[in-house]
Amino acid sequence: MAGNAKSKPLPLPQVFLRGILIHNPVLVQVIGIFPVVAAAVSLRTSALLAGVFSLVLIITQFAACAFLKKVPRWIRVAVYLLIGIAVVFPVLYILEKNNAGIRITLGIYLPLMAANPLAALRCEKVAVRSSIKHSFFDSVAASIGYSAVLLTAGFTRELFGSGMIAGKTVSFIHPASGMLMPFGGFIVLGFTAALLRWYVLRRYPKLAKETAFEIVNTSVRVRQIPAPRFSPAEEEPAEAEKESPAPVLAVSDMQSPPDSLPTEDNDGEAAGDIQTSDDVIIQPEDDMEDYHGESGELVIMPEEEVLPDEPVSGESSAEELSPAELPDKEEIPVETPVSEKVPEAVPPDDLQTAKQTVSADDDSQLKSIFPDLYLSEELDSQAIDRRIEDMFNSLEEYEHKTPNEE
Amino acid sequence: MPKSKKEIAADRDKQNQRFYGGMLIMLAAPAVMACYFYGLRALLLLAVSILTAVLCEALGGLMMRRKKNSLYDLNAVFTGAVIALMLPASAPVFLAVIGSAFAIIVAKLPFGGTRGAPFVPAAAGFAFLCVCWPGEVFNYPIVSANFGAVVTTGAHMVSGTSIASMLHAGNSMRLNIINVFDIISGNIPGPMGTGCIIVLIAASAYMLFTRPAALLNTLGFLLSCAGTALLFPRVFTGRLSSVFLELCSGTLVFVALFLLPDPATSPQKGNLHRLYYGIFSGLLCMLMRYFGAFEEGACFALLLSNASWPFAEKQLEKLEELYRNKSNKNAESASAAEIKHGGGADGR
Amino acid sequence: MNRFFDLLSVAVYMIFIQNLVFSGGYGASEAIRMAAKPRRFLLFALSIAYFSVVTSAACRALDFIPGVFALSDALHAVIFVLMLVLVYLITAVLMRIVLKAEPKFLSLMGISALNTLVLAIPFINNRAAYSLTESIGTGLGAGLAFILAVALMSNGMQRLSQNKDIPAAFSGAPAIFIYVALLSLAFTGFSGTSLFA
Repeated sequence: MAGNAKSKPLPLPQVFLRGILIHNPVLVQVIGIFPVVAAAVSLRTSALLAGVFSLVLIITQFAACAFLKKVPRWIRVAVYLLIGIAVVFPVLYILEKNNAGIRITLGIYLPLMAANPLAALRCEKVAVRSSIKHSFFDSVAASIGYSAVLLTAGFTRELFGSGMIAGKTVSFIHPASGMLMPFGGFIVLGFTAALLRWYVLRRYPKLAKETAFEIVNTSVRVRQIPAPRFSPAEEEPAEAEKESPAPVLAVSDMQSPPDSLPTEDNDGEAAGDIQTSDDVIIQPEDDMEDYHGESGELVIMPEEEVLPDEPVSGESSAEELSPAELPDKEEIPVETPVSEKVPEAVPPDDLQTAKQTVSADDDSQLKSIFPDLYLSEELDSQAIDRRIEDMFNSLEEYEHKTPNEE
Repeated sequence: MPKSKKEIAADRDKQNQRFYGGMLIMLAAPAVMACYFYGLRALLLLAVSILTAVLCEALGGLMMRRKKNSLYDLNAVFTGAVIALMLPASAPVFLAVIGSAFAIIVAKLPFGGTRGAPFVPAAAGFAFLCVCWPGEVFNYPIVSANFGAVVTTGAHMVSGTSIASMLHAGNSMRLNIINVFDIISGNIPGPMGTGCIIVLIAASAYMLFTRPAALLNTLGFLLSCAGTALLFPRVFTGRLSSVFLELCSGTLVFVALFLLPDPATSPQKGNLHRLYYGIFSGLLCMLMRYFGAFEEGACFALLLSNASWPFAEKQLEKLEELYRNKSNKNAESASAAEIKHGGGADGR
Repeated sequence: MNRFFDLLSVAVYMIFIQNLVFSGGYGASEAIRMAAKPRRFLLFALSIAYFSVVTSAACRALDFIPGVFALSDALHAVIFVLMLVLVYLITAVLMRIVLKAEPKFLSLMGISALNTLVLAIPFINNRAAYSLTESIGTGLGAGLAFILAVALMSNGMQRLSQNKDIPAAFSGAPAIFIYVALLSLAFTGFSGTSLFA
């Protein structure tokens, strides 16, 4: 279901709910991680950063909504950066004038707040399409969400990393200086994100799909093992028995990307699948286009990179996952996760028929031919290949030996 | 006949249990040596570490409401023991606690448990300790061969320098003075359980009889470490002594023997792949040792190789495929030629 | 030749010893998103490398002017940002008018140009007082560090997406964060306990 280019604004509570919890910029949309990870090492610095960030975000969105709707896209992004530095520079100047100690600790991080990816994203998504009031509240919500994460991270890292709370030492903790480093930031982020996700899953289970960050990796390979039928038409799959990579979309959840527009028909917990209806097959939009996408509508066409390079031959008897998955015994039953999810994509027709022929019978057919392979401790893919190879080679020899009556 | 998912999971758990149980049996040897050298302190650290790991795992299992107790596969016990044995005897107790807790809570539970963890939890825990408290982790007490005669805490503790730190500092003069037998039997300052090389080699005999394929990882690791030490020695007293010292210093052999063959991360696709994985990890370990910031590189290198092995494996497979295609084409053309000639001579 | 080795050593430093993405956190959000959805990855990385090299060299060249060099830190920040915007605009105009690039490509370029990784390079050069060749090395190192980071992460993410044991609260972004955290821990073995920049 395609969203409209201009959407009716949501009621305020919904905007805030979405901005802070469901589409939390850092924890769900994975934007603007750098200050949280690198800079939020104490409560005071995070407070300052949060303040500057919110200021930049709100002002940029306001300006984008008010003035920049007519400007072409590729100039607009540069303007965001200019607005950012215009906001940050006074802060820098004031800090420098007062020679505040905090400037030393912030060092490089404060000027980098000018390059605010969240501002660019939000502006492109919301500000240029809606009214000033709506974009203002949206930016406020996003700022609150981001600041909350910053403050949490700053508090936790200061507590565990230096043993202090806002500069006052806490005595019973052995400070782990590693928490002050970026990997400590990532750990704190991870657990905070898990906490948020747990809360959202409990409280708003129907909106939970929107919090998922999907991993779309088009390099998952599917190996073909041809059916052991002794007909000349199968000579060709004998060549293709080696890895014929067919990139298959391994999508964990068919849903729109988390940072798509909120739509109008949504009130509270009622509409669970806002952008994901099962009758329309939706490809996850190219994320880069979400930054500066041409349209806000969901693109209902398959991405060209998703289609397999070689059409899968229809006589595939069994499908096995990429080699990394083979030795796990639980992959032998044919409900492999890939074949479960593939029908949800938009594959070409032969791919679809190929997937349909995969069934438990084929697996048992293979097993009846190579019984000992399935009893071994580890499923050696090379052993299977070699077996099939030997079989075909022996078949070849047999065929070539017969014409003796010449 | 195809097994149900439950049966497969149960099988997998049993496999895990057998693996880690075997590892624990092997770990008894370095643990005994640690207690011999460092007395009750070693026992205390071991006990605390294992207890923490088990507690964290149990709590995690409770919070995630697992139906089956995940302690059965003995991975938590193993992780706790390994972390304790890699610490110096003079390590404060909270190090063991935090290390085990980190290993289980951060490196194991969020990924679902034993088989899902992309990194070896014990290596992650120890790496965390290295980074946060490098002073405590690399502060080894002087050891003596009398049972428990070492003073490990308090004002009387004398700290010695381990071989690894001397190598790191490029200090090869002092390395001549150390007795070879002392080095092999672990009578030098170093991590608690990793010093006694002879005992570790003896422990590997157990793995040789039960799981020889897993030893291939270790073999590859030691081979590449020895090769690098041979080609690029850090000491000036000769290449062989460089090999000897590099291999016997620090946690290298320990990590290679106990942490490298972890079934969740080591390749399962054949013996050759295991060998390659060992070689790859060994190279990374030596890189860490030579260019890294700490004297102990093995755990960091293990983390890195866990992360980058799938990528390396893909390239390896591409190479193998090329090689096989080439040899297939040769075989095919050879047999085709044969058949042609054969057919011609036979069938006029 | 000396200069070339300077360049190379700084680049290697940026990539391995203090990997910008892992040990510094710069550009982490782009790297994670790229690793999770690899679209036009090589183009993106090349674009980042290009922008960081050009901006870095230009900013460093500006510092040769004594008047600019004596400015305060805050003004330096403004100058760096302005320089980056200038480089981006010039490149965008070139692409659009001369090479007739399509809007998708332009938007890709926009994201790659105006992010924290590229902007951080001139600051790092300033802090460490690198020479001009070393600045070029830093810029190159930024692009390559990004490529390394994404390559390492994408393999892990593949493994994560196929892992069915992950508890529900951790699936998706939290597991990715913790994975990146442990990778970053591994890289800390190179960089040690000194904080970057």
